[in-house]
Amino acid sequence: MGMRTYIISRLLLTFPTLFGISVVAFLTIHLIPGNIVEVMLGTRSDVTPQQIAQLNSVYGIDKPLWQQYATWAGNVLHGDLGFSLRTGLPVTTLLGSALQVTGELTLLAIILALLIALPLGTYSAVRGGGLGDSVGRLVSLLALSIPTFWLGTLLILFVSLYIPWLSSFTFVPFFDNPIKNLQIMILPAATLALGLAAILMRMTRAAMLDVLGKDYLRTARAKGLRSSRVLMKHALRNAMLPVLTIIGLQVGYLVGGAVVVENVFTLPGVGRLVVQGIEQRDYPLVQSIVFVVAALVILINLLVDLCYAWIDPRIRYS
Amino acid sequence: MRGLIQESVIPDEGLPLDGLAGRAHRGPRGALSWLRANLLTGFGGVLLLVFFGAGLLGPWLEAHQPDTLYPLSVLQAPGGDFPFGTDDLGRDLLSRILSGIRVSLSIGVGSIAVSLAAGAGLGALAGYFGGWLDALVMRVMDVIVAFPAILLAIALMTMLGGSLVNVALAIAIIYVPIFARIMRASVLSVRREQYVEAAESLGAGHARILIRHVIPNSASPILVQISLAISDAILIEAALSYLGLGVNPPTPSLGGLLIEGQGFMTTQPWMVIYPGLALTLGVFGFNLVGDSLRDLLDPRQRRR
Amino acid sequence: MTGLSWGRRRLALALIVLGSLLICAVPGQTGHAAKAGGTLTIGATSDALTLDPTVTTDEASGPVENLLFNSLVKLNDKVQIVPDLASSWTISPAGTTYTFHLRSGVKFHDGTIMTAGDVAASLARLRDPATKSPWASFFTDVSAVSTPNSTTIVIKLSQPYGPFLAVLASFLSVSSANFVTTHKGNLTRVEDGTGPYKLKSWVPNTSITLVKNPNYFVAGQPHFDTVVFQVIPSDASRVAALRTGQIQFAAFIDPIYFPQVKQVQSAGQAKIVHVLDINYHMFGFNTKRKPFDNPLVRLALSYAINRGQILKAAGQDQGVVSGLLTPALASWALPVSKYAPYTTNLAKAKQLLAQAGYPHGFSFSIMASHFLPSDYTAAEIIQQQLAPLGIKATIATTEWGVYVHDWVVRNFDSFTGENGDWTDPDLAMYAALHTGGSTNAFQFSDPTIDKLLDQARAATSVATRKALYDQIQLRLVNDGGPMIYTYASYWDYAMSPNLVGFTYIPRASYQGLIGASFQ
Repeated sequence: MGMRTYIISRLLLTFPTLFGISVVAFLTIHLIPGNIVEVMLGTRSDVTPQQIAQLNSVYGIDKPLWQQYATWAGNVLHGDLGFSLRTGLPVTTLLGSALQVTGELTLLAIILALLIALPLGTYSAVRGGGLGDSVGRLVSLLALSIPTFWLGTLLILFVSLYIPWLSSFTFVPFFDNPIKNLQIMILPAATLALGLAAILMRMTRAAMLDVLGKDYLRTARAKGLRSSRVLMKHALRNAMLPVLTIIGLQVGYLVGGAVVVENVFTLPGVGRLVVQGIEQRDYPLVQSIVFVVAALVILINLLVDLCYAWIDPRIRYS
Repeated sequence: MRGLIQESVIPDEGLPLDGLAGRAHRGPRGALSWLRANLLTGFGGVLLLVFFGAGLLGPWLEAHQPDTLYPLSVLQAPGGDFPFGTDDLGRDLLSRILSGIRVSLSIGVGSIAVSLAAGAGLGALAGYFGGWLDALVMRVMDVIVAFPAILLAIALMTMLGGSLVNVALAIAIIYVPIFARIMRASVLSVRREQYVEAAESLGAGHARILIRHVIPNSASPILVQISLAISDAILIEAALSYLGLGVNPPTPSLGGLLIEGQGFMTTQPWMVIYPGLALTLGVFGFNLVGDSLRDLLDPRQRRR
Repeated sequence: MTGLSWGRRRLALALIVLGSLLICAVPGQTGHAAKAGGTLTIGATSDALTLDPTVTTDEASGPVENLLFNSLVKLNDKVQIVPDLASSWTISPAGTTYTFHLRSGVKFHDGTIMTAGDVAASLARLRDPATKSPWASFFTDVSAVSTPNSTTIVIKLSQPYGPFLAVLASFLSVSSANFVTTHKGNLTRVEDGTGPYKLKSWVPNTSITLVKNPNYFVAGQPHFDTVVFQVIPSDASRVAALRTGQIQFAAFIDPIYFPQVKQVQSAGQAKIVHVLDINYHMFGFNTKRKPFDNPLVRLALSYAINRGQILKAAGQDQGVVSGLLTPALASWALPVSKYAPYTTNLAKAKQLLAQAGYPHGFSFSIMASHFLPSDYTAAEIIQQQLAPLGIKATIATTEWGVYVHDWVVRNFDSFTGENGDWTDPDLAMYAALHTGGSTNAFQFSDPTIDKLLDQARAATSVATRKALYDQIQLRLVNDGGPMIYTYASYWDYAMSPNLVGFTYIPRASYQGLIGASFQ
């Protein structure tokens, strides 16, 4: 199958998947018992049934489900993500400001993870085998085993007791005040980075081993180039591609981790926005955001698969 | 955290390709590093034994019942009668951790067992019969995979309510695509083998092919995945409990213990430290075993 | 978080003396001169949703609205009705005509003068079905509104309604009629009230900034130049923010954090105003489900539980054991000594159970939500306390939205929760206990109670009403009512040591900041 045919067939397959995602995103929030009116009014308001009916119609939740789905899906296709029922603000605005926070969080986490993973992975590959290697594997697996929210909670505890100046409670955007912003973001980013660093370290090690074994490197070494320069120039550059691809594939992990981290550190990111939206049954908010996130994951995976297919033609054949 | 890297490099159309994550772990000193790998497996195995043991033998090990209140010993520091201290209702933390291990384990193992059965079944069907069935099943799997696990779990748990069975079900759904994909890839690559085509033309039944070829072929990646999936499942359940969507009291899971301890974190840190440690060690054990299994069983590893 | 009783909490009536129940952690500061200026940063649990009190149902918008608007009347710290925009009023002998005389020269935030027409328009908007205000139901008795001149407004009721002034104080807010028309009734993010502060800016989910209204009609008030509501969702973070001085005021409801707040006080970085809130914690039953259809069973459980232990363990001992009407309603509440079941008596409980036909106990579930943490813990304790009787209780951990839904559709065996204790007994009891009452989730129906409630609502003499409500309370507790009342809890208002002049006004606590200042 040619590359072009492969691309077209994969793209075509994406559409039913996106449709499926939209239905699941819509249904999951609507099937949860309790609606926005009930959550808003709680258990102690003296409200008459007529007023409840009125509020239901204000929020459009008295219409049949398929109609609500159609309206929403239709709007999304036009780029209109709807309005948050709870605050009345457009979902795009809320998502935009939340994405800045989550985006910065994940970016910082990736940077921190790379800072830890690349040197450690390279070192581990060069030394190869031996005690250091085992310890490295042990440590990286341990890092993956620590529950994110536990780590976050412990960090908060530790910092509030021993490094009080580092604790800060209100989010400040980076461009408003970089220092304060980093003060807030460093702990959550570190929490998220730990697991990612473990994965990336192992990836780096594997990729570096792969590259180090290649013939042309042996030739270069035989020609007398110093080991370290050989390493840096060729090996790392070649190893970067798989490492970077893995980062892309770990989007799912990062998003899931971000949800937990944002809740622990109460950051106004997408994770927190969605969790609060679910708690409040803010239908348009949750539906649109979940759909957008899931669609992004699908698209990123599609891109990666296309890259693989390009690199290794065997994959295109089914 | 879907089973680390392995899962992500299984494309739709067949078993993983060479290179990347599958590459040789072994350095030049093959024998020595085999030993080290086994040591790690051994270590992991020991951890798991301790974890399982603590869980299963819990009722005989605990000095107190996990849900008995001792109002006179509220918020006691570890020591004396209560080796891990007590919580705000005067309950013995050690007993609660032991019963928490039991709960976390049952959810972890139970959910993955269900997930394996459903996923492998679906994957085998898809790979074997191909065509529209295959396309349908894989599209459904794609949809499930697209959602970040935690969000899917949150939505499912809010819908179903907190109970052992519901939590296990919610987590099971998340893992179905992974097992389905492994099984399907295995079926596909087996079917392509010439000797299978030969066997089919000789009239061997589907069942025979499944049992003699497909299952052994898929056994190793699945075994690896099981261990990692269980550890992941335990962590997801803990996160759910943290968000208030986990198992009911009076038998909270380890995650539930963590959320109980949060309000008292600064003044009674043991309420947060011990459950978290138990959780980490258990998950670590599963991860170690799974990782080592991958090394030992993956045929692509048998180089050098 | 005790959640959604802000609307109810703002109601008040005369005759209640709270002062004796206030336990101030620091001696009063009334002798010091108020210093003008400064910025007060308040730590808020969540962002406000709207600046329109007419449609406000959440608990975060109220505090901001407290500083932006006035009503005809308001409550003081002794929960008595005092003048606000109306400097005086008269009530006709029949109790059906209220005539209010407004202050003159009061300016809205946009500079225009407030007239009786604006007040009438605000009331009409509240009652207009198109506004869909949840609070309109309190004004159904209003039959006619007239404004004979620009400083007088006359409101006629179709029948006497005792709590009317309190209802006005809590739910009416006066906005400029012109402003409302120009903004087509969408007052979510804009306002034009008469209050001591006006809106300067609102960064969603982060902070709301208010600035001093230079034209405020009370001379010398307010004192702070700026007030900022800073959103800090986590209790632990707010404690830390208080400690570092990043905020100077925060309310704490979850008693688990009281010791930490106390720590901050001991370090000299805060002072605490410790007050008894007007709500009660309870354990309620669905009287249409067995075995709770039998009053003897409900009474048995009432004898079986130990309220003191629940208060200690779930409430961190921050409260008082109480009945339906809490000690905050000193003039209406009965002392708990009158309630026989308040003395734990397992033997009596066993006897009652046997009488009811359950000598070996039974199984049932308690609906509880982490959203109300103390009540969740209370459920765990109750579970333990009932075990000796052979009663097996399972706790159904329910997410808040599901909890409300199940409460609305009456899908539960029993639940733990709390109820706002309105400051008038009628409002506390009628809707919750009368047959068919809108918040009668217990589906309770007792003709005797119904009759007593109807009589007490129609009566005008306080003495008559008190006698009737005494009967009701005694019957509800001693004869196995649908709810077991446990305790009323304290709240902590923590603030900078140099913040003086804060007075606690129940149901409108942020109004208490209007007279406050930095020393």
